[in-house]
Amino acid sequence: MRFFLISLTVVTAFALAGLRLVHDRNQSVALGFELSKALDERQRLEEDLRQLRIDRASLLDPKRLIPLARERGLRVPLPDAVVVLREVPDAP
Amino acid sequence: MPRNVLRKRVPLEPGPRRGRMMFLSVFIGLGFVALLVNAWYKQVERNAHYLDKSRKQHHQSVKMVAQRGEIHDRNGRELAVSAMVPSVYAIPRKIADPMPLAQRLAGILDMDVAVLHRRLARKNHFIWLKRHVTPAESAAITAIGHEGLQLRQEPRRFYPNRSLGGALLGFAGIDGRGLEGVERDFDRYLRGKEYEFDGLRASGQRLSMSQGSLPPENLSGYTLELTIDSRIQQVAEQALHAQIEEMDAKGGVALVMDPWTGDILAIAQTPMFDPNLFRHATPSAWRNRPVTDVLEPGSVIKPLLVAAAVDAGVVRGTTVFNGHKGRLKVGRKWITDVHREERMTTLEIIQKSSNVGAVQVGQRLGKESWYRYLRSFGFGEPTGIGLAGEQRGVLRPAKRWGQIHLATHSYGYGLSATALQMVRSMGVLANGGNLMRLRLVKGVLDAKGQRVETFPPRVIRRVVSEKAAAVATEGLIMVTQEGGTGRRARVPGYVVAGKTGTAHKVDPMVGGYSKSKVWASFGGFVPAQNPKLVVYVAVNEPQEAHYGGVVAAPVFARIGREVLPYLGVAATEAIDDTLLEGEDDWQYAAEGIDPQARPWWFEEAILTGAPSHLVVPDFGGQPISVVMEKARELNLNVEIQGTGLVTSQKPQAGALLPPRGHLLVSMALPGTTPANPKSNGGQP
Repeated sequence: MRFFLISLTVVTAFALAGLRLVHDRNQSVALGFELSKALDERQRLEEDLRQLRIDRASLLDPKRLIPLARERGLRVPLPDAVVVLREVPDAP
Repeated sequence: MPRNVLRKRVPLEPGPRRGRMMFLSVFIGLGFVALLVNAWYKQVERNAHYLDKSRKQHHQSVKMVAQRGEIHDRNGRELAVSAMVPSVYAIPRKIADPMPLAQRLAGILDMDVAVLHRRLARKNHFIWLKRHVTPAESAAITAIGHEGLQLRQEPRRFYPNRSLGGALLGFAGIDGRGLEGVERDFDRYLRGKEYEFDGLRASGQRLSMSQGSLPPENLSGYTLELTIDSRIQQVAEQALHAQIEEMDAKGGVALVMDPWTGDILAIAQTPMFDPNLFRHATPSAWRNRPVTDVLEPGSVIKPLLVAAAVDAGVVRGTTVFNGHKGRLKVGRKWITDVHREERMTTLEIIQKSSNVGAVQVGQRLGKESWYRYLRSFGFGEPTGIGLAGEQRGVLRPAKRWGQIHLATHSYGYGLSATALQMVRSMGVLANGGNLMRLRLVKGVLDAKGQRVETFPPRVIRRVVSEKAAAVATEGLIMVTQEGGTGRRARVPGYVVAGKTGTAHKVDPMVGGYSKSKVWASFGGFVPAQNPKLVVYVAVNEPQEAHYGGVVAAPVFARIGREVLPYLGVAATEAIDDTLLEGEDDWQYAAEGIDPQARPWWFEEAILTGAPSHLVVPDFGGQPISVVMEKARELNLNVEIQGTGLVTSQKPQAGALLPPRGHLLVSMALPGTTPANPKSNGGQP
């Protein structure tokens, strides 16, 4: 009887360990998917950022902006309107 | 049962019960041994085999190309950027009846039914239907919900400034390879590296990315930082285009350079094209003309001749030459001038653009010496700017020159050069005698914006002395003053130094120089002392006028007028108001630009804007409250007929509607006849 109980205990322990292993594996896979979703989200946000930069660059297209500025009365300053406070050397 | 029963050792009773227990124990024991042996076999002995098998089942290796690098101007403004957009592909094996699907797709994708049917009828696993579709198209494809139709995100190249610097930038193809211009010639920097990522395949074959599957940033292509200033580029393009329209010319080029660094600030040409729509332009429009096309320099070369002659010590600025009343015979050929002068100084030769005077300067310099100087100014060799197809021009060795060649070479005929060579040689006079290496790329940045390579400005060689350059500059200033040929190049507030050129083109039909076809040009720099800009303009076959002083000089003036204040260069002279007349309207006249117009991808809403069209949901069987709520959410105007639940709708579910589009729904109480929608719906 004792031997039987010991065997039963061992089997139960193995079964529990197995279940734990399966559970851990499932957790690992689930976490993998969570991680994957987070990475996808990061990539999506990076992509959004890139697209917004294209939008911004398009809106700043000089061919679009300059006529708009002129329509609103803005002009290129006359040369005598330029006052140089200090010469800044150009970056190489 | 007593509590201590388990603690008490009870001997097993002999007999059949004990035997059964023993048998069971041995059986379980053997079972464990078998399990252990099997586990050992699989975990240890065949470990590699099963690991491999598992990897193949759960992982899939996918080859990808990392993001292509961007192209920026000198101020960090984006000139070319990649973004992901959807493409549609089909899995024909999963399409049982291709024809109805092809018919439906033809309307959505604006493609031929026959072409679509042919593709869908194949028995492949994969076939592209349309690359780079709009959000409206992709939404409609998703709404179809057919398992044989799928979308995949692919990178697409965008040029946010449309045609600005189009020919210079070139374009990249659908596979991300540079095909023209900077995109092609600097592809080695821009192209993202190929990489392999390990995707995790779940049930249902959905491929999920695992950690580390994102492309490492160091695999992305590098960002190119050009020397181009997009504002100056825009001014140069506008000024050139406006003048070409006004002069009814065939085309032209305008280059702007920093004389101290050799930086190309603008490289404009017409015809222009939009690299976003490169297929709409002809391959000849793709050509980078300032690099690939050559022209005879004409009189623009005269200040170089004078600088060389002064440097060689054969003339001075004040040396007086016989004008020969505008006619001088060299060999059997007569050299003529427009202005018939009795005599003139070296500087007046530049000012009045005298061929007769230039020939005499050339004769004093001698053909060997003039040839050496021409080579030293960079003629007959590519500038090494890094763009493919660059021409070296034609400059024959001096030993093959006769007296007539020395004469014609003195006023810019008989040799040819690219616009790049012309602007660089004019830069020699602007900076006091040094030939600069032309710089188009300032540096290379990685994906994090860290500089990985810098191309510093470089002096190639000293060509003439500072004194010789100063003498030539004096003559160039006279060109834009009273009595000079280039007065229309004047920029209010600044002293301009420049030279006009009018070179007749060789016409194979007449077997010599054409009388009507010319290159009208102007090369110069401003301010004359301590110049900030060197500009070279050449207009091809103008019809309304022929002289460089009339056709090309105004382009120089417009560029200087806009760009110098932009660069913060203070005026050195009193402003002559007469030079400002008519300056306001030329930009508007240039291209018929509608300032309210947004780039085509705004209209198509390829990027982040709200989709221009939305997909009509299926309201079938829904009560009025759900319909109203959804319609409000989607910004639709709904017309409701009847009461109860929705029995039909127009347009049908899955159709495309613009925002605030009209939707007609018919409702009926269960068990009654539904109202019939009368309107054809769809449009507001």
